Amino acid sequence: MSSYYLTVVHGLLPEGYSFILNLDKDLLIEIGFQLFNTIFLCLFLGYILYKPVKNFLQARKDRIAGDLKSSREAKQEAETVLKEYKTKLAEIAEERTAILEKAREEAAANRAIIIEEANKEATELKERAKLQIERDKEEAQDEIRLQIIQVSTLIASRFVKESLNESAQNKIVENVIKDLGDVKWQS
Amino acid sequence: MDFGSAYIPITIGNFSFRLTETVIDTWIIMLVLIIFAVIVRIKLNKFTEVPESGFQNFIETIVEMMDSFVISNMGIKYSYFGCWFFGVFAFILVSNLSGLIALRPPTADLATTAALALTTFVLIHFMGLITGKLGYFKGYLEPIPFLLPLNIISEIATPISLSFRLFGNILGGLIIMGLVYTLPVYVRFFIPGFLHMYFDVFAGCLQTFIFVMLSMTFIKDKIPDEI
Repeated sequence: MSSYYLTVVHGLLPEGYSFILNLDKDLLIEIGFQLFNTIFLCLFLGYILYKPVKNFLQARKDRIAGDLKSSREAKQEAETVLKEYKTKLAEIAEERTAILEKAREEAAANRAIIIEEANKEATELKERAKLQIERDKEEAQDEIRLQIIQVSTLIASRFVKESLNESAQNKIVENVIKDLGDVKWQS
Repeated sequence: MDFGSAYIPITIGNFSFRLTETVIDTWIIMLVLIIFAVIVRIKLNKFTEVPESGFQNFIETIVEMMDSFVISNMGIKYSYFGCWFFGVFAFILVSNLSGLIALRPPTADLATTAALALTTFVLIHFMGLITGKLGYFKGYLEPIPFLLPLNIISEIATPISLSFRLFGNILGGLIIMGLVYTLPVYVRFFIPGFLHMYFDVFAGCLQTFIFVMLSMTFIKDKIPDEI
């Protein structure tokens, strides 16, 4: 008897009953046993071990594929939104530049108008002031002339009362007035 | 010297049969694999999205490898065959390696390998029939009807060659190892380790791979190419 594999089962079986290859009806019966054993074991391993693990792996693969797909979609969407935002930001920048430009132009136009109006107003004020001065000057001249007349009349009347008659007196007054008309106002 | 499979003759009424060492070893292997499968099934509920344990990594790796193996041989459409061939692969591999734990490999018995080859034979012709329909029968008359007997012999030879290839290789390894163990003790102190590596591990894995790959190829060959 060979010694290396005869420990567990072989040693328990009766000696003298063994074979390597017998092509007889017992072989067919043994094939039947082994056929049943093989089919049972293979189906058991297949359906209890292989299939559930494969389904688990497939589910994980599908989940990863789904996650990758949704990530790609999200990335694409984010890129689209980013592109839109960039476009909008560019538009906003353009709009801002346009608004600023317009505001500057309007400000410049307003400034010109305001300056023009101010100048105009100043000119008007100056003109009015000049007119007022002229009027005041004329009034003052008239008043002075009147006072001179009154004073002259007073002096003359006193003088004439002393030496002249009425006609000579009037002549003198007229001459005086005439002379006064030629006097220029000195302020 | 006895390299055969021991048995107990059993008689029930008029019916007598042999309860062989091969069958008992198969039951031991089945028990181990069934317990393993049940443990995996229970632990599957605790498997995480990202594998954290070595056990989960191991299970995922073997299932992924089997799936890729089936797809590369039979195509994605027939990847459901993985369900069957995973069991076949596991059974043959553990049977071939069982020599390492002092069991007589069940694959060193023609009954086991013939049963495995028979399942392949049935699958070959079942798939040929349901996918090829009339074309399946026409295939036997090609390239010329005169070759019908040869074609039939070739079909019958398939399971015979499959079963005897595996049986012969494993039995050969077993006999050589048995002979080596009869050598003086100072010789077998060094040699058996290397020979076990070759006959049990290397040849065992290789023959498992060959059997499963040939089975897949034979089945795929019977399925007509899709246009």
